[in-house]
Amino acid sequence: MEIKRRRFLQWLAVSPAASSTLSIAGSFIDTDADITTNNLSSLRYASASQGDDGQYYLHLVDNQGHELLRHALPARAHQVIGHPTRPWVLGIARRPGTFIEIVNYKTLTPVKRIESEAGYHLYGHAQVTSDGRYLITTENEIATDIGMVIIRDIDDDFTITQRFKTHGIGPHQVILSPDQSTLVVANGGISTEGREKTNLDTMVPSLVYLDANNGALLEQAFLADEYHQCSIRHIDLSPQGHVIIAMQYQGHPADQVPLMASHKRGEPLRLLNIPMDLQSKLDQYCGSACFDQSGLYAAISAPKGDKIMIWDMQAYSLIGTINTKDGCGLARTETAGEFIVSTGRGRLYHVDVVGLERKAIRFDATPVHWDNHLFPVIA
Amino acid sequence: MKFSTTLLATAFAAIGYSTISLAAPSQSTWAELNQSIIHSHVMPRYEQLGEESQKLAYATKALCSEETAAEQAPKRLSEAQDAYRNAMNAWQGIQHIQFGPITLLMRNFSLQYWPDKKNTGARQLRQALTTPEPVYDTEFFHAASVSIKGFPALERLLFASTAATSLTPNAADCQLAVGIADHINWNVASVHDEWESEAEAMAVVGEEENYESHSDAATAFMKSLVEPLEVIRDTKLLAPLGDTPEDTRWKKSESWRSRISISNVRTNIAALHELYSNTEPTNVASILAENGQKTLASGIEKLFVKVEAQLAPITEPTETVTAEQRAQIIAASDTVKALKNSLIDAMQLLDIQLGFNSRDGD
Repeated sequence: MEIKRRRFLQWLAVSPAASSTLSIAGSFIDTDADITTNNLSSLRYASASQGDDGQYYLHLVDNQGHELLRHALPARAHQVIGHPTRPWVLGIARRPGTFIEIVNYKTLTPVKRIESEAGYHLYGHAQVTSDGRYLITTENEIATDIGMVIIRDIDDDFTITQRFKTHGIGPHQVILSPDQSTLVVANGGISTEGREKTNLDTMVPSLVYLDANNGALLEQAFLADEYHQCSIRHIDLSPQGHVIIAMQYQGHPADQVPLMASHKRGEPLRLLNIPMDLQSKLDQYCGSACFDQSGLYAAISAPKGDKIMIWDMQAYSLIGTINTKDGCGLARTETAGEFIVSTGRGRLYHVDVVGLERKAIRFDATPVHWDNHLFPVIA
Repeated sequence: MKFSTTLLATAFAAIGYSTISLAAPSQSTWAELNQSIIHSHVMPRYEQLGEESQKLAYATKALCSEETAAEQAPKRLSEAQDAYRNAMNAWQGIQHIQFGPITLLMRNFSLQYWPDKKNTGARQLRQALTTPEPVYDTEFFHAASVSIKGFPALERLLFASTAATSLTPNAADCQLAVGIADHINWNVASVHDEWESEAEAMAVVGEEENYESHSDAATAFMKSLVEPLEVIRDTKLLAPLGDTPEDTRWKKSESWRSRISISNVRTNIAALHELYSNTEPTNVASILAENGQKTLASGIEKLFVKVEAQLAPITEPTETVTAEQRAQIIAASDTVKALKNSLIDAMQLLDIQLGFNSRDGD
């Protein structure tokens, strides 16, 4: 099986047919180009962190573990993304924070700090359109608890141009489809006051597809009622349009509930079953979800269980797990079947679906606790 | 990878802890601590739980034996209830270990499904008792909900207001009680057995092993020391009290039927106290003191003594919680919070990473 998978991945690496576009950091690049030679040195990874000094940061690191940027933040950030056409990284405040910090990683200087409007807060996730023009965030209209997607025009000093309802409470991660037509939003379903959860008995998470141009609801997928406490939080979208979902269950730690699911347009949510002995170790919590470059494999992190799970997304089967203490951040590399993992203990690892091995990447600066997410940035 | 002790020193200087001779303990110190904890804390406590759960199984069988004469029944019931309290007490003494064999196949939740906010245990129990011609054997428990495999379900049976009449030898209640007590006993025996190999795994560390280093293995114990304090304060002490006296629901407490909810907390604190400063030959308190933190080490010791003194006079509430009980419980819970904060500081000074994403992710 391992040899078969290795051959398959080698084939994928040279096959332009596997996918013509691929979503990275809200952008897409042409895989017809010889990625392995042209872009090897151009892919960077962005993450938020906390240092042992208590300070929160955002970082940009190259694939050898060399730190290119360390920038102190006013508070804890969640997702950090790259801008597709300018040398910027954007750090989005963790819920219920209100700042988006934009820093130029070439000049190492701050570009701007924008704040959500009065009466709104962020949920830690954002995207930028591939033309670099619009910033897309998930936000909460605090007074009404209505989940919103807010679009800002970067060229017009981040003026808000559109506001879409997400048709759910607590929108978390948002992904823009490679063709820029669709927004996929994870409605976590949870009402909060500060960080306190207030509606666990009545929460209704969902996955929604919105028209990126006018916010029209294209499709909404729900879990069965009995799983209504499985908060749909983190998602990724494959080049083939397949969505993978990492969930966080808000009920009893012993309940047998799904923690992962996948979705294709027009189909019901498909639950991904984890063997019970593994599930019992995950503490009902998955942190990040990430497709590999080919879109055929996915990694899901479970930091409370110190595990990274690797899935075959064609067979919907668990290939195996890799132990990483407090590992949560996941990013694909430019090679099919490969991921980078970041951990709360300050480690970075390279992992692949063939050997299910982790290889340490030596980070060359003062260690930090890597925060929940890691995203590739094309430099 | 070591986190910068210089940065730590700066951070702690600001809040007044000693930064002189600040150095993380050596790997050999952690190795010695792990062995001390395993042999003078974990193993004896699992052994104690094994013995008490065996006695519970015997006492439940005696209560439900056809050979028990009717006039013996009240005495047998009372003996089974006492055996239950002793076994639950032994579980409370090792409940804080939430890694290793106890987590395999949900054994921890099988032993104790609590809190049971949706009343799953009651529903499952009713269902199990009304099954025609029930057999509560291994196969039954393999398929059964975790909510009826352990202490809370057995408590419902042994301490039911109708126990004197419902727990007669051939009644389903009695058969199920015997089955649960046996299942607890089997569960505990498995955990105890498997700790032999867990103990070995904790001693052999390396990049490809379960634990990367001795400090990594020690981190599992340190989490067991710090994390239960939050549950003790929030779930065991404060949740049943509610925000106001009108909101008090003592039935939310852990063992209100058997009337040992406060006793459970006393046992929890005593166990954590032992894990902190009474494992042999070395312990967390002495390591902290040897690493330049004598004041913090003795401060934590004093907080343990203080909360034990605060818990000692609290009588078990019944239907209502008196104003005095309420004040006593709140005072103890404040000390538990202070204890937790001091221990978190201690862990940072000892360079123990309790978790970042795993403790406060989004």
